[in-house]
Amino acid sequence: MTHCPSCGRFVGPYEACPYCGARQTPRVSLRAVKWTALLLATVGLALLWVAAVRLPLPRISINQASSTMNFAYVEIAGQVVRGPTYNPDSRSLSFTVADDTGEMRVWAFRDVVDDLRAAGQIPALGDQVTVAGTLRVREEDVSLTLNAPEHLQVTHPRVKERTIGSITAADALQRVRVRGQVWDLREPYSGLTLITLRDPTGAIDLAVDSSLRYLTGDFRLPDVGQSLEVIATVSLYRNTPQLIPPSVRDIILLEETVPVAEKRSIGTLSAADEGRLVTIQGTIRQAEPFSAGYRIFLEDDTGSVLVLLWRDLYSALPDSSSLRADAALEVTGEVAVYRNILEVIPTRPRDVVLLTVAPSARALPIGALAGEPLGATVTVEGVIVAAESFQNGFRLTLDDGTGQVVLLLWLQVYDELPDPASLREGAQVRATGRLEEYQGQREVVPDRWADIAITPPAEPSSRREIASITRADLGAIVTVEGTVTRSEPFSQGYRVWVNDGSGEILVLLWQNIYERVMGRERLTPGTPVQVTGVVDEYRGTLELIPSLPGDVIVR
Amino acid sequence: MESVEILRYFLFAIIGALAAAPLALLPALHIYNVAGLVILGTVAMGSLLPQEHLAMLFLGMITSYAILNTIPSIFFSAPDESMVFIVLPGQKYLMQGRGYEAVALTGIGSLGGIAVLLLLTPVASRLFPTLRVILQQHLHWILWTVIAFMVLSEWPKGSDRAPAGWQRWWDGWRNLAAGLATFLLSGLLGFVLMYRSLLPVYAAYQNLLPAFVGLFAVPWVLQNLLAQVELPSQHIARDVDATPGLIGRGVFAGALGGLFAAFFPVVTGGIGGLIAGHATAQRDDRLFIISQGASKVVYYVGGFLLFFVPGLYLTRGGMAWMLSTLWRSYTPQAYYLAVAAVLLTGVLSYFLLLALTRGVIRVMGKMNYRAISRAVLVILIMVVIGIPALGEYVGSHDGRAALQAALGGLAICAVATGIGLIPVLWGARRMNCMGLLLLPIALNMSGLGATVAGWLGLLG
Repeated sequence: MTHCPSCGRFVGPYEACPYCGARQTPRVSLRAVKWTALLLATVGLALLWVAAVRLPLPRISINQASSTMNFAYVEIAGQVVRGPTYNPDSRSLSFTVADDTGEMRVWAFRDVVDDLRAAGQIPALGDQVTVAGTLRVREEDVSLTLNAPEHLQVTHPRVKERTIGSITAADALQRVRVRGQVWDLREPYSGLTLITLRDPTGAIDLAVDSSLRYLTGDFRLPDVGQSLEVIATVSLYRNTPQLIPPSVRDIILLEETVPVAEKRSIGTLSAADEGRLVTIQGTIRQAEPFSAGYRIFLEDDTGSVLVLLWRDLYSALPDSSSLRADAALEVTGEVAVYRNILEVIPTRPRDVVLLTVAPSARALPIGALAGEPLGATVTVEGVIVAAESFQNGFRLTLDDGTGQVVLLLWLQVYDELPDPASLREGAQVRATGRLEEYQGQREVVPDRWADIAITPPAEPSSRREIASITRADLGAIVTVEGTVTRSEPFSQGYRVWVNDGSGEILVLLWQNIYERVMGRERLTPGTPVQVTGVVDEYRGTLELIPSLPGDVIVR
Repeated sequence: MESVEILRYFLFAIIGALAAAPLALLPALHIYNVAGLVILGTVAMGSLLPQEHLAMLFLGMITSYAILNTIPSIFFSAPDESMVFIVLPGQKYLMQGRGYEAVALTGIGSLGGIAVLLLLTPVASRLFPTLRVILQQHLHWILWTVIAFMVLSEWPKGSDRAPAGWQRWWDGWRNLAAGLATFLLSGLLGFVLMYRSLLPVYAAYQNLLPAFVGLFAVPWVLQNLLAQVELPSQHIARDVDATPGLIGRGVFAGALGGLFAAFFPVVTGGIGGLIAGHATAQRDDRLFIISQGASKVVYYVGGFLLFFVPGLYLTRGGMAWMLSTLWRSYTPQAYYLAVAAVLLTGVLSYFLLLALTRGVIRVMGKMNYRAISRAVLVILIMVVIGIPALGEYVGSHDGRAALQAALGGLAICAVATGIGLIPVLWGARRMNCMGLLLLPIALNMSGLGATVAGWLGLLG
């Protein structure tokens, strides 16, 4: 008040009116207000701070979190059931904590993540954690932001020694220690590597993702076949157990080799072993190709079993040519039953180990083959004196002076020969194969190209001028050299007309021959060629029919 | 979406605007407190209405509040944290009997702010997500730059009449010291509240309410009580002293500051206005008042609208944070409807602003200004006691915890009032009180928050 309420005159700071004596309402001292404000601001803040630091952090159960708790600084306790996941773009770490009442995502950002990482305090799947931070309640979820590394306490669960095969879905979130051999490595998508570990009891995937690598350290992937000891938490991927290590440091490379399969004698295998990985040793009784690969009948003193090598595995074997009868073999593979027949199916080339090769095959005189039992593996050596093609291969007649035998080459074997063009009449051939009989005639049937050694013949000396070939030569094998004048396909192959200046002759290439002629795309007018073939006549026209692709040499 | 449903959306926005209008007249009662009570009601009684209708209700409320709270700011001098700048020129107008004109100018600025929001609509869904990606990595240093600007621009303002020596030095530097002290003390209070609040957990959603009331509202009421202001009679003008160019400049500057405040975390309309004011070199009081009207709307309404921008997932401002606990916008349709609702309720609020100002002027002469201030003080104390206590009681059904929440709220408010009085009594900017949020959050963004909290013993 600056004026007297009684007389209305100006009284200023007086406590009583100097004119009428009325007592004035006391004025508030501004200095007192200032001191009060300062006291409230400083002492009050200090008291507030003292009270605050004495307050325990409020702990809530996860399902307690509600809208009105938004931004509350609270503590939760539970088990890490997902994650941790690191996002390098936002430099954020997240993991999900579950207690008896629910689940909550916990986030940490930037420097907090760096501090946790430096302190080795990154929580892992299955860890028990107590974490305090700011609660964020959103329409879609509730999360907690960890603001200080000190507010995360991690307790690791007890580690249990386990064999791989004993781990089931019921072990989810358990911490286990397993030893196994790296069976396979694969990367389903960038940033995730799955290491398949095996021991004699089973296999399991060990997941190493980029988050784990960033958060716990750099990691060099092991090689297939190396043995590891791993401490990891069991997680489930589509209800299949998988291992997630808390840190890359929990993946330890072992000096010794952990076996991946139990060693078994063949006779002990039974249908009950289906799906199990076993290691067997034995001698090859019989080895033969089939449409999808290769079949080996392996036997030991206790019995025999079929070993199935799929084509891609067989072609990846370094010494597949040695897989022949009498060789000793160790195979590690999964036991399978197909149409009541027990099979062992290896999946990696390293699981097919040749222990001893078959005794070196000595070439038998062809004349002596009559005394060999059918099915025996024999080696013969001779000169190709005749050849004919059929739909699925070639029949070559070998002659070593003691007799003649048919060398049957299936197309799949022929096609794998390193130099098929050298296989033509006059070539010296040494071949190992099964002795079979067809229409009363004995045949040697090699299973693979490696069983065939070819010494090419010298240039044919009996080259003929085309004009000199007449009907008198029907059935004879002649060689001509000239230039292609015309060529055309027909329903079963290709027709090529060759002119050597003296005359022209039709060369008939059956489809299976034509397809294997080296440089066939150049069989066009003007191309010089050399052709060896049987003289034949069709509708009054003389023609030359090569029996082997090597009989046509495109210059 | 059916036309009936769209009309229902607009209806809820209008209801929100009309409901907020009388509440905005109550000095120092923030619309966030009212929204908090609605959230509390939703938690206590289940969903009172569909969440998307609640969103529209909140949108109407905040639009109306952003425009209408100019009235108590000018006539009752009880601004919120975004209004600290409007008071000086606004009060100047008030003391000249031109309070109505000040309100009208602010209203024009607010309409300009709404126009800016409308113009931004076609590009918002592309512009803001891109801007966010670009700025995300730089927020910490931008925030520190804002703080540095705020503190450094509080330069010495002595009277040059004090005796030479220490007294003269203190005369020049006391406002600067007061500003720094306010910033640091409020920052420390912010740390305490963020890491170990005295409020129980169920009241946490209004954790900062007692502090804000104490820092901004109570000191103004106390100032009014101490100052014993005699208001001159007010003239209801039929026009305003502003040219279209001036309005355009004011709206541009205000929208710039408002957008900055709306988009950046922690930065309020007042801070945005300060920066934009300096950036656009404002000198004119009229331009200043217009710009504050625009800034306030863009800050409050624009910040809330960001919550509706599809694909942005940006939550800015107390209203959006509260709503985010119950609802989130996912479709462009919701965003366009929200903009339409803002336009509708904004225009409605402008006319309400003029009408209610005339009403306030009519009754003001018959009211005891000190009595109003006392009543406001009582309301404020009830708010800081009642809202935390209610929240805790609804959540825990524990009377003791509710009492603890009430006492905690009161204690925080008392300390905050002490801090909030420092700039009032020593002539510093009241905006320094924003240290409550700026200091802890800037330190957190720089990775030092936990270290400082550790030094303060708040992590133990």
